[in-house]
Amino acid sequence: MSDTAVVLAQAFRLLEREARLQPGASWHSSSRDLNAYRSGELSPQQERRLQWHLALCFQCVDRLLDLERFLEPLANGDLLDETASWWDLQDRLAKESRVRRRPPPVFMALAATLIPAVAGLLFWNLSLQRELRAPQANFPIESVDMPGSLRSATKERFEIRLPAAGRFSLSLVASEVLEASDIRLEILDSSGRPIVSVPGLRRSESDTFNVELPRRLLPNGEYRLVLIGTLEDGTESREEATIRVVDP
Amino acid sequence: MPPLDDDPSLPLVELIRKSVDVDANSELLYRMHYRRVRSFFQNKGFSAEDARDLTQDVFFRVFKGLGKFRGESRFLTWLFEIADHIYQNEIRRKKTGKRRGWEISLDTGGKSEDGEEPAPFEPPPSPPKAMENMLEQERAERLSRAIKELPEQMRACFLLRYGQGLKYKEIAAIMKISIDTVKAHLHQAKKRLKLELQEPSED
Repeated sequence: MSDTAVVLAQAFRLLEREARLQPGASWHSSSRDLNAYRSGELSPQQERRLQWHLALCFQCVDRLLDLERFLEPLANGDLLDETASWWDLQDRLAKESRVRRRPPPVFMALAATLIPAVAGLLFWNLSLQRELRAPQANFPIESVDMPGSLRSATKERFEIRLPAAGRFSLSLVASEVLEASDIRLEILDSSGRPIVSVPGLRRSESDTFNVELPRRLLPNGEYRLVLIGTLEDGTESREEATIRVVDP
Repeated sequence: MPPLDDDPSLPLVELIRKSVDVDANSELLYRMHYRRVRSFFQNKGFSAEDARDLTQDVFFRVFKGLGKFRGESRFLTWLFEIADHIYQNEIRRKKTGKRRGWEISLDTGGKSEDGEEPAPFEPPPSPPKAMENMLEQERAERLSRAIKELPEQMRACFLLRYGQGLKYKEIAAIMKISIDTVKAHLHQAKKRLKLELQEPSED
């Protein structure tokens, strides 16, 4: 390479570096910009700027020349592999659309596991929210006078009308057991078979013991309610009442 | 270039997008442009087989992305953008492949991991002639300043010819001027830069 050629190449590199370092200079033009340039759609100022860029950028010059050649009219003639290539492309497009339609097996398996789980959680959450939103006052509250109380003398058996499902509250009006500790309620059926035991009852401000129970625990029939507590001297205090559960 | 309405591809594109006889119209569109795209890759130096594969990649993208083509530009320009994008990707891919060379660990005492001997040590080339380089650098700086003083069009023609080595015809196409104007610009530029381009005398 002659000295002049070396110096020319160096001068070119210097100018290129300087242009690249211009503030706000965006290097390389898009195909769209180049097409706009060759179609005369740029303003004179944009056109001058692009020409200066082209003078220094091999890559964009190449691209512009490619674009020129690409848009030139074609001579007639067929290529032998044109049809075969079209068939290959059709296969590829068909395969792609099949793949796009059918998700991969891993995703299918994940979806099969997750969908019922999410649906179950959603249902559980909704029912929980419904239950929590339901006002407690809507529960039927039945008052039962235990034998030791003053009112018990008038009634021997309490008839309690309860809806077929849901929960209800029993408000037990006791007397002797009020003084005891470790109070529990035991419910037995008519044959004396224990149905449920509710320990740790606490006395309310109105001297009652309130117990909330599901209706399905007490189908229609007769039951014995036994309140049991331990007195200070260690003896057991008991109060019993009989109830009959019926539909409203 | 014909106006947008005269673009023969557009009616076909419209029919395909409206799902009218998609297979037949796609094939027509494909046959209309197949040779053009394939020639583009062959002109870029790809083998016939590679050019065929890359052309297929282009049309694969075209048919997949036809919904995105808004018809604001000519179909051919859009097609070129896709072909150019695939070409750039292919070049990048090839360059990345070339970079995967031997790595010789310093820990293995100059031998590579598989025991191969490294290339024999070669001394570095003789030290550059510092004085000569400095003079060349100075000349290059003077020349670059002088080039910047040239009128815009003349300057661009000069750089395209002597910086990038383009032919007159190519410069004319790029600058959108006649070949005669290119020649005149180059003649004038050389005259103006005569002093900076002269080889320094021996004494």
